[in-house]
Order: sequence, then C-alpha cells, then structure tokens
Amino acid sequence: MKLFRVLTVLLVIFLPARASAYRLGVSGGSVGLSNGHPNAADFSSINNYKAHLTLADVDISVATTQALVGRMFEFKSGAFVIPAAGLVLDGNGSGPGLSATFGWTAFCWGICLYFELQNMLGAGPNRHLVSGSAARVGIDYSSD
Amino acid sequence: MLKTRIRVALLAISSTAPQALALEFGGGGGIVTQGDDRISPALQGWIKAGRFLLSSTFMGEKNSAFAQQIAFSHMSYNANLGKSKTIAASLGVGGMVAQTSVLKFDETGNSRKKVTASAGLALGLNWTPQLSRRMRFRVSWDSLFIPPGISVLYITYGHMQSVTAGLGWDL
Repeated sequence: MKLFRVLTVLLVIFLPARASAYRLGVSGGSVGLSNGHPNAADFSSINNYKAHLTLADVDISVATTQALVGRMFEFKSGAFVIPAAGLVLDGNGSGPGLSATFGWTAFCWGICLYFELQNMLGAGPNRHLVSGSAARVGIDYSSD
Repeated sequence: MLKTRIRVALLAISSTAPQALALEFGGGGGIVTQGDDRISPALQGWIKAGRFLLSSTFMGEKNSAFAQQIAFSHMSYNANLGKSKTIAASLGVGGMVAQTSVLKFDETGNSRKKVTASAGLALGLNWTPQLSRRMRFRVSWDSLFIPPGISVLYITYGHMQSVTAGLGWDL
C-alpha cells in the first residue's frame, strides 16, 4: 500500500498534460544484484525480467528488482534516457532509490526492439547502499 | 607551406573556439561503488570542451593485507535532457586501471603487485547549475559497464558507479 502511494505521488509529479501516446513492453537480460556473484545472463531467473508502460513520456517499470516511475527523454537517433525514482533492490536489501536507464530503440515494425543499460542507487537497510545494474533486451508496442 | 597551413588551422580553431569549444574544467570528490557495499571515497577531475567531456576519477584502499589504487577515466558526449540547460546525459567510452599490491610477503620475500586494465561503456547523468558568470556546480552520477571479453556474447558485465560533486570554471 505504501509503495502504491509512493508510485501514485511520483506519477502525478512526472505526468505531463498530454497523455495519449504510450509504449508497453517487456525486457529481459542480466541484472547485477551485488550479492557477491557475477551477473550472469540467466534467462531462467525471474530477476532478469522487467515490464514497463511509458505513457506520454512517463515511464512506469516493475521488476523483482525495482518499482520505478521516471521521465523518458528520447533523441532523434533512437537513443533514450530514463531518470527515475522509486523502490530499488539488490541482493542485500531494498529501499528508496534512483535509477538511470540508457537505451536505444533499434528497430520498429509495429513492435520495437530495444536495448538498455541501467544504473540503480538506493538507501537500503542497516546503512547498506543498494547498488544494482542491468543490461536488457526488450520489445515493446508503441501507439505512435 | 606547412607552417602557413598550421597557422591557418590554428586561426580557424581559435576563431570558433568560444562558441564551439566552450572550455570548462573542474574538480571534486565523492564515492565510488563496485557493488557488495564496496564503497570508496574518490577524487574527480574533468575537462569539458563543448559537448565533449574527459573525466577521471581516482580512488584507493589500503589495509593490512593489500593496497589498491584505481583510476577510472571516460571520454563522453553530453546531451541535454529535454529543454533543460543544466541536466545532461553522457555517453562514451571509459577505461579503468587498477594496481593492487599484496602487502604480506610471500615465501620468496617479495610482495606481489598486479596491474589490470579494463575498458567499457561509460554512461552518466550530470547536473551543472551556473553559480556565477564563470563558475558552475556539478553533480555527476557516472558508471562504467565493462564487458568480460570481446569473444563473449553473453550480456554479462562488470559494473561500477560513482557519485561526485564539485566546482567547474568556464575559460
């Protein structure tokens, strides 16, 4: 419930007036959990999957390692950057934090293929610094 | 003839420099994290020419068993986010050199020293509000994604992040 309230507040802050175009998709790859193990590309792990909805440049993403609301900035080259805030998690705990996702939308034929790298920093329990990362490949549907 | 060409080139560069190559340099400090709560204090220096940024971060760690010095540098292109004049994303290439010395002597009586070098993709966000006509504050969140090797197709990687703050001056 607390998480829902936080996400709602962030959504109101980030949501611009225009809210028609949207992107909806999933991605998978490799997530660095800072748990003393290498972040192997293990597609069998649920940790490595993420779902997202981008509504008028506001990006909402949910995974087992994050629940974030951010603003998507797109460039003409297809590159995009998403600074976001919300809940982040690594192998040693979870807490409020920030994320920066850097991606590139490569191909679009109704459905777009994209690649992204993500940094996460957050305040975890017992003075633990949540420090996660991810490299993902995803597909999404764009209404544009 | 060659001198004339060099002079013409220098004149062309210097005449466009104020607009195209607005130079800025600065320094600051912060932290670097390599995961698993491995957090180190760090010093950072940078030079920015137009949209291009060269930044170097230095950190070290010493205890009774080993001493380590790490330098992490990147050359990046800066792109402002949306209409903002102070918030930008950076994309570039970076490298890291780490020197580790094992301080406990082995059976030969020699301490062991190892230098490793890595390269990867440098990605970051920075906020640089203007404090005065020539001075800027800069908060930077940088990262380096290091592939395990060019022959490896998996998307696994090494990763480090730094968060630094400092002051910069426009030349």
